[in-house]
Amino acid sequence: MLCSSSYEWRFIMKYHLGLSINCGKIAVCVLDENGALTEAGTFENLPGDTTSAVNGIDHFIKTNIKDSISGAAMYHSKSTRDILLAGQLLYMLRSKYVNRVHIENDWIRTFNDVMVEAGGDCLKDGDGIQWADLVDTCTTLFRGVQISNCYIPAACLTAISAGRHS
Amino acid sequence: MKYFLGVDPGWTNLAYAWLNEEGELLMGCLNPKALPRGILTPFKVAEAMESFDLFEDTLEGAVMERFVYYDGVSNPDSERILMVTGQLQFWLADHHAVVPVMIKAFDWKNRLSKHLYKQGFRNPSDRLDKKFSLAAARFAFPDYEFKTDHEADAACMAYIARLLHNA
Repeated sequence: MLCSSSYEWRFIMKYHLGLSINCGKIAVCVLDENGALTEAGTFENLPGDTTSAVNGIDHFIKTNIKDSISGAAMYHSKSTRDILLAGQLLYMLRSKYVNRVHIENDWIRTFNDVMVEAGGDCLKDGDGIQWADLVDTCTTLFRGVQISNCYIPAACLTAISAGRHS
Repeated sequence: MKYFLGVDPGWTNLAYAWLNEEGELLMGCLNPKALPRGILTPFKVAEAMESFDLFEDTLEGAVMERFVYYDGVSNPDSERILMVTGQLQFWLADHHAVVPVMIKAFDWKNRLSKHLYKQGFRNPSDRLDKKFSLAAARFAFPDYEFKTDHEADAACMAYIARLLHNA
């Protein structure tokens, strides 16, 4: 995005925010508008505290990307705990940072779309999504990301969704 | 002055009751489903409180009903009710530094029933149902009219929030 100041044109980077909520953990991924990974991490409530995870994400956004979010999306599992966390996040994001948060129902579908664009289609093959496919694709797409479980890849793919729906 | 909040979360009927130390109540029932796009449910709950003139006061406690799946089955509204509940949880923590106590309907009604019994209340129903809620709210707040059982539930939960605080 180009913005004019008094003396020059300067480049201001915009970011896509992806959040994935599963098993009480909130994975966060920030991609820049070129799709490059900027930040990724997970947040979890402290014992006996129901809002510390969302507070942590609020602090992270305030400190790093406050006025530069061009799109936000979240995926959540259907468990009671995860939907409550999704509601907390939705309120925090919409009351402070963005007008709209896209709810991503199926990050695996997004993953398949990404694979189709890259020339493959693991759902069409009938094999389903394999762990190795996810690791390979996400390691290539999101350089620097450490993949030891689905949490971070799901957030990164949801961030792609955020960009597409922004 | 200290004040308290009770909330009965719902997708078509979300009731809230603000209660101050002097026993004054301010109640309402919202339809989150019908709120215009961009209006978040906690904004509307907060809006109602503004007419209570509480600028110098502090919210001391809140009780919200914990959602329970009927017969263990979820329906399309279950997710929406939980999302709205989550919004209220974060709003209370962020704006008021209050962590709401989440209590299942059976548990808060059972507790309130025992408490009010000692003061002479008798449940007109043989269950902890809508009839109980309305009767309990009228007993606890004799000067108020309760239009719906949702408002009665919210008022009862605000009453419990005050009880918990004073315990």
